[in-house]
Amino acid sequence: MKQFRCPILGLRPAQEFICAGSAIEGLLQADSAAARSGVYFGDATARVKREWWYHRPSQLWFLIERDTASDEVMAIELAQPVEDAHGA
Amino acid sequence: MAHRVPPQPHEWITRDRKVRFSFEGEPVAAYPGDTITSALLASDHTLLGRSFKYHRPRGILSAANHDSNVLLQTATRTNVRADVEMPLDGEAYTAVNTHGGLKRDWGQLLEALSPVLPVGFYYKAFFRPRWLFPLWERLIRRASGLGWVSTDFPPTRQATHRVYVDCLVIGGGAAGLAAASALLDHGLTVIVIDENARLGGRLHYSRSEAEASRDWLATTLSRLESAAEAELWTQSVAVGWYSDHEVPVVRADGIHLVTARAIIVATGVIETPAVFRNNDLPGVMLASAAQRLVRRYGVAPFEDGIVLAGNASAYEAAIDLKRDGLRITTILDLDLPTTRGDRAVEAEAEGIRVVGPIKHLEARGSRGQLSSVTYNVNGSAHELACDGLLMSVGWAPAGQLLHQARVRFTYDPQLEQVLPSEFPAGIAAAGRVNGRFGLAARIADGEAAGAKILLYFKQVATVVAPPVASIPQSHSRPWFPHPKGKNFVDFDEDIQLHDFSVAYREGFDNVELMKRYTTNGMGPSQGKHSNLNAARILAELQGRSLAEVGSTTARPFYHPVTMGALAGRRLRPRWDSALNGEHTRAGAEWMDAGLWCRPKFYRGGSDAESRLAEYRAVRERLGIIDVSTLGKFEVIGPDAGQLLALCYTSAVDKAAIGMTRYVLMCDQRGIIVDDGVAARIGEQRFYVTAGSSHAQATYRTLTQVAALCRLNVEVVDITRQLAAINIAGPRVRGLLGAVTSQNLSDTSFPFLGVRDAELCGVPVRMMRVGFVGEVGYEIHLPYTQAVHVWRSLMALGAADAILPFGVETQRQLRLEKGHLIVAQDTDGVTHPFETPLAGLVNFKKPHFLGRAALEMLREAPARSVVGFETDYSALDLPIEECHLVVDGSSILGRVTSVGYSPSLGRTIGLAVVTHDFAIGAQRIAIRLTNGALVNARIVPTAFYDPGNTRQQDAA
Amino acid sequence: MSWRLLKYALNRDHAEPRWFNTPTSPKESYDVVIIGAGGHGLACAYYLAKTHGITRIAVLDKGYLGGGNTGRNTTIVRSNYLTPEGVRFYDRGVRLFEGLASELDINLFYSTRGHFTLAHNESTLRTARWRAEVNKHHGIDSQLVGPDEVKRACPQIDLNCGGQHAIVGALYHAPGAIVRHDAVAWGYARAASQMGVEIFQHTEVTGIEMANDRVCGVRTNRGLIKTDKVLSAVAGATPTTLKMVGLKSPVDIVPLQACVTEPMKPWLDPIIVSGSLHVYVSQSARGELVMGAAVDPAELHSTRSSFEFVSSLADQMLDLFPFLAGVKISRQWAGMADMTPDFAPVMGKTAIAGFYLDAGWGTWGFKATPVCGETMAFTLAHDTNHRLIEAFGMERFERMTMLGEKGAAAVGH
Repeated sequence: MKQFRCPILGLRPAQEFICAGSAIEGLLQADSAAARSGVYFGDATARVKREWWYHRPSQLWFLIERDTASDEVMAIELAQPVEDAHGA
Repeated sequence: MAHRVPPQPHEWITRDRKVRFSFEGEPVAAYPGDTITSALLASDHTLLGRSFKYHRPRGILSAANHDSNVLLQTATRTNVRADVEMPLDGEAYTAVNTHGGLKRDWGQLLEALSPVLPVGFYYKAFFRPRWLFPLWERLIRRASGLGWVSTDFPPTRQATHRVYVDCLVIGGGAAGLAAASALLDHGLTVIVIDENARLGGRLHYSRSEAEASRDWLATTLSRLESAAEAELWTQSVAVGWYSDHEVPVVRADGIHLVTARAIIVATGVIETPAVFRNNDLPGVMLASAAQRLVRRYGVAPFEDGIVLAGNASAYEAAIDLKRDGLRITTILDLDLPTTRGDRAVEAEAEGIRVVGPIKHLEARGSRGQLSSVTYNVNGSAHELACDGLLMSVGWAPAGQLLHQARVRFTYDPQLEQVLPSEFPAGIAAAGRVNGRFGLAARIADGEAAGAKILLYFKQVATVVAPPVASIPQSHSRPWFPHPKGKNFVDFDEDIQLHDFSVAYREGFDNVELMKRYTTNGMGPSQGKHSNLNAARILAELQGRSLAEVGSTTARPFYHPVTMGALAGRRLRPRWDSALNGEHTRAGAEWMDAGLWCRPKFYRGGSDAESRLAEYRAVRERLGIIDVSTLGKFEVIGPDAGQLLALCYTSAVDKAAIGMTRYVLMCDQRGIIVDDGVAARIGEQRFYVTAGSSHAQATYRTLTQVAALCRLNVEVVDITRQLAAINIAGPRVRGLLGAVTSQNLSDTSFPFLGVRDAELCGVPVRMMRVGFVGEVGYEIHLPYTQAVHVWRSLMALGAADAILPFGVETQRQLRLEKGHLIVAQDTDGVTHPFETPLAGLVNFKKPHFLGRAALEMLREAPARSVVGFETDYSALDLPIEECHLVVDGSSILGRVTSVGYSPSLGRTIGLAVVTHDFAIGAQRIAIRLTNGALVNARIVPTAFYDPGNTRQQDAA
Repeated sequence: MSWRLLKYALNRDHAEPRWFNTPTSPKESYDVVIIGAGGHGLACAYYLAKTHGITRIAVLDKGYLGGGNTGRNTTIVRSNYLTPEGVRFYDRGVRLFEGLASELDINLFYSTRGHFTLAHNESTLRTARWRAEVNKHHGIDSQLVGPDEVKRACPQIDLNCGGQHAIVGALYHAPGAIVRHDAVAWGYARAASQMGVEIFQHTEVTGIEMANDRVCGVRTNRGLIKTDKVLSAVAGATPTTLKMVGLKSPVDIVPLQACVTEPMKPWLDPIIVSGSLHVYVSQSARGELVMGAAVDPAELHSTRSSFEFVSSLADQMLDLFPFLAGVKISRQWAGMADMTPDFAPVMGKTAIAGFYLDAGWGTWGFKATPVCGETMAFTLAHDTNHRLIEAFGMERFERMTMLGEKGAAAVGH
C-alpha cells in the first residue's frame, strides 16, 4: 500500500487520505476565461503534479508532489502550518 | 506401486499416531505431518484427480503447491490443495470436477472429442443458429468450473495483522537463511518467511545437499532462532508485492501485512515439466516432487523409477533418490550424457543406466497409470517398463514478486534463464532465483544480498557476489512433438504442444495473445509450471530468442488467497446520536443515513396513522425531532466571514450578529452540493451547519479554502461533540418559556435569529428556523446533555401531547413549505439557476466556489424545479419519487418529492422539468409505474403558509 | 457440433487462416489512421470498411491487439442508463452485440444473464426507479424489484448484508449480459483484416502532424504515416493524444481494478452490482467469479494492483455472499480508465479538423464497442457527428454543462 511520510504525522497509509487534485486552485483565478477553462479542462498527462490530499483521521490538508506515472512522491508539506491554524 | 518407506532422517511426519480420513469414499490413514497427497500415495492411491478439460487421470506433479489437478472437495470446502494441505481427522475428501466419481468419471468421454476441440474451439462453434447457443452455453458452463461452493461454508473472516520490519527475507532456503544471518547484529529487525513447514528448502529434500550443509544449517538456524531481532515464519506465503514494500503474508491465522523497509527475495526456482506424449499420466512427476515425498513424508511414489534428464541436476536427483532407497534404473538424457561431465559417471557407478540423447519420448499407461516409456536412441526404438518417470529438465525462476516490484530481468543465454538485473532501492535477490545454483554459491549470494541491504541502510558492508552458474540449468527445448498430441504444456488447462503452433499460425503470435487464445497459464497454478515452456515454444515458432519473446505480466497472487483472509475483520464505522436509546424506546423505525441511522417514523398504530399523528402534532401542537446528524462547525477568526463568502454562494459575510442565513454551497462546476445554516455569533465567529451526509465534505471544503487562501481562521468540526434537537409547533414558545430564561418574543428572538442561552439548566445554542413551517427552534447542545434535555422537553410537552417525529414526517412538512432537499430534489448536475434558490447566488463577490461556471450557467438553465398539486386526497398515493413527467414520447423531467398534504387536502410535490417547458406551463402529466398518466397543476412551490404568517408572534 | 469443428478432427494439424494481417511495415499513407487496436478502434475500422467502403486504414497500437481495457474489463453489457441520450446509444450497442457473433463469424459467448443493481437505502432505490422509468420509456426492459425477487434470482445472497445496509430492492435489467471480451477485439480485427485494414501492433504513436490546424499525418516509432483523418481510440491514454494536437483534456486517468477467483461450478446466474458496497460480480463461462469495484481514488497512469482494492472487495463481497470466505482469489489486475466529469463519453469531431475522438469511456466502455465503432465510422466517413453521439461532444464542457448520467450510481459498469 502506498504510504505517505508526512510532516507532523509521520508515515501514514494512503487509505487514510482523500485526494482532491488541484481543482480548488481555480477559485482565486483572476482571469475569468482561464478560470472557466480550468473547470473542465486541464493537462491530464502523466507528470509530476502538486495535489491536495486530506488526511481524514487528523483532518489536515497536505500538498503532495507526486509523479502520476510511477506514483512516486517527491515532496509533502502541510497545506497550512498548524501554528497558523491556531492563531499563533 | 507407491508406498511408505522406512523412517527417513529428519522426516516431517511423526509415526506414533494416525489421522484418518476418507478419499472418494475409501478410508485412508495418514501420519501427522503428512499432506493429503503424501498420505494417499502412501496407501498407493496414485490417481488423485481429473484434468479440467478432458478429464484425463492425473496424479502428483510437484508436491509443492502447483498440483492444480489435485484439488479436493469436502462438504463445505472446495478446491483444497492436496499437495500442501494436511488432512483433517475424520474429513471426507473427493476429487473436484468428476462425474460419477474419480475412477469412473464419465467426463473422460470428452477426451474422445478432443480432436474436434482444438485450441480456441469455443470461438469457432456453438453460435449458429443463435437460438441454440444458450443450450450449448449451459452445457459448457456445467462442464467448466472445478469444485462446487457450499453455502454452508462458515462465514469465517480472519483478522489482518500489521507488521513492520526492517528487512523481510522471502524464502527460507540456503540463500534466504544466509542473507538473514548476514543482517544479524546490525540493529535491524528481520523476518524470514517460507511456505513450507520447515526452513531449509532444498537443503532438506536434496539428500546430497542435506549431507553437505548439515552443520551450516544447524548453526545458521540456531543463530537466527536465538537472535532477538529475527523472526522465522514457516507455512507463510508472500502472495504479492505492493507499493512501498508492502507484502501480504498468508499464514494460518490470517494475513500478516508486512511493511518492510527492505526486501530480499530468495524464492528459488520452480521445476518445470518436459512436454511429451502422455506426460500427464499418474506416475510421471517432477524429480523434485519425488525428492520431497520421500524425504519429508517417507513416501516412495513409485516402485520402478526412470529419470528424464535435461540438465546436470537431474543426475544429482537420480543419485540422491537412489541413495534414499528408491529404485532408479535408468536416466534418459535429452542430450549426450557425456556433456554432463562427471555426473554421468557417478550415476553409472551408483548402478543407474544412462541413455541419451533420446528422441521420440512417449509415456504409456495402463488403467490410467504409467506403465512404460518408449523412446529412440541412436535410431533404435526402446521401451522400458516403469511406474515412475521423474522429469528434471529445467527451472523457472520464482520471480513473480520481483516482477511486481518492478525489478528488471534480462535473459542469460548461458544459463538459459532470465535473471534479475536492475533493482529498485531496497530490494535484492539471492540464490537460484538470482542464477546461483550450487550450495556454496547460494550461501555466498545470500550473504551478498544481506550486504547489499546493509549498504542500503548505510551500514558498512562488502558485497562479494559469487558468479552466476556457468552451465545451463534448464534445457532449451524440452519437448517432443507427437502426431497424436497429448503432450501437455499446461496441465491446468490441458494445453498441448500443437495448440501453440495452431495459435501461432492463426495470428496469435505474441506472448500475450498466445496466452489469451490458448488460455495457457490462466488456471489455478497461474502458469507457474507452464509459462517458461510456453515462452520457449513461442520463441522457436517466432525464430527468435527467449529474451525477445518477453513474458506476460506476473500479477498477484503468487498462490490463490481465500476471501475470508483477504477481507479481514468486518469493520463498519457507525455514528450514533446521543438520543438513539430514546428513539428505540419510542418505537422508532430506523433508516440508514450515511454513517448514521435515523428514525424514519415512530410506530404507533399503522404506518400511515403513525405518520399522520406525527404530522398533526407539529402542525397543531408540538413535535420534536433529533437533528444531531447535521454537520456542525465553529468558524472563528478575523477571516471567518471571508471564508464563508468564498465557500457559499451568497454574501453570508454580511449577516448581522445574532442572525442566521440559509446558505448554499456549489462545487467548482456550479453544481449544488450542500446547504445549511450559517449563524453569526460574533464579528469574527460563525456557527455553520451542513447536511448530514455531506458534513465531512463541507468541512473539507471549508478547511481547504482556508488553507488555499491563507486565511486567518479556524474551522472546528464539532459535529459529534454536539447534539441537536428541533422542536416546533404552535405551542412551542409556551413550552420552552418554562425552561429557559431567554425571552422568546419576536423582538428579542426574531425569526432566523440565533441566541446562546440556558435551557433545562444546560448551556445551549438556539436558532429560530422555519424548515417545517411552524415556529421552531433548533437547539444545539452538548452530546452528554442531550438525553436530559430531550426527556425534560418530552415530560413537559406531555400536557400538549408532544410527539417525536421522524425523517419522513419532516420531509413532508418541509415539502409543504417548498424547501428543497439537496441530493433528492437536486441531482449530480443541478445548479442554482435551475431551482428557486437562484437568488442565493451573489455575483458581486469576485470569488466564490462555482462562480466561473455559474456565470455561464445562469444564461441558459436547462431545467427548472416546479411545484405541482393534484386532487388526489388518498393517503396511498400512486405517484412516487422519480416517476417521469412526460409529454407524449418525450421525457420532460421527473418527480423529485411527492406527498399528501393533510393540511391542504391534496397531493403536492416538486418536479424537475425542462426549462423551456416550465415557462408558462400550467399542467404536467406524470406517468406512474403501471403506465397510467396522472395530471397535475403547476403551482408555486410554497404550498403551505406562503406568507410565513405562522412565524409571527401569535403566542 | 459444427462442421467447422469436424474439420479439425479430420486434420488435427489444421489451423484456420491467419486471423489478422500484420504487414511488416506501414505504407506511406492511409485514408484513416486509428490510434488504438482495442475493441473500439478495430470496430471503427471494421464499420468504415464494411459500411462506408473505406479500406485504406491503418490501426496502430503501442502494445498488442486488444491488450488495453478491452482485455482488462469485466465484460458486462447493459443499456440501463439514465439519460435518453445514453439509453438510446447503449441500446443500439446491445442490439449490435446480439447479432455480432454471426456477423463476425466468431462465438463471443454473448450470455444474457440479467443484471441486478442492488439498492441498500432509499436514495439508491429512488435512483433505481428513475432509471427503470427512463428505460421503460425507451422500450428497455428494466424494472424496480423487491428483495424477494433478488432472492429468487440469486438464492445464495444474504439480503441482510451482514446486518447493516440490508438490500431494500434492486433495479433489474433483463438484457444485462456478459461477453468473452478478447473475442470481440479478435473478431473485429479478423473481419477488418479480411477487408484490407492493416493492423500494426507494437507501433507507438509519438506525435500527430498538423498543417493549418488540420491533421496531416501521424509520427510513429516506425516512421511517419501520412493521413488526413486520425481517430484517437485510446482509453486510458486520451490526454496524451489530445496534447499531441494541442487540446486540453476533460478526461482524467485513474486505475480501475478487477480480480478473479479460482473456477468453481456454476451457481451465480445473474450479474450483481452494488453501488453502496462498491462491488460487482458475475460468473464467467469458465466458472470464475469476475469481480470489480469503483475506480481508484487518485489519478495514476499505471496498471499496478493494490492490496487495499482486493481486500476491501473481499470484505464487501462477504457481506453479500458470506459463504465465499473459503473461495480463493487467484489473480488481480488493473486498467487505466478515461474518466469524464459526467460519466458520459467524449466522442466525435473536435476543434482540430481531421482529428476525431472516441474517449472518456471511464469504466463502461466495453459494452459500447460495437456502437462506438458504428457511430465513429459514420462520423469519420461523413465528417459529421452521427446523430446517436451528438450529445457526447467535448464542447458541452466548454458550455459548462454536463450530461445527466451523473445521477446514476457511482459504480456503473
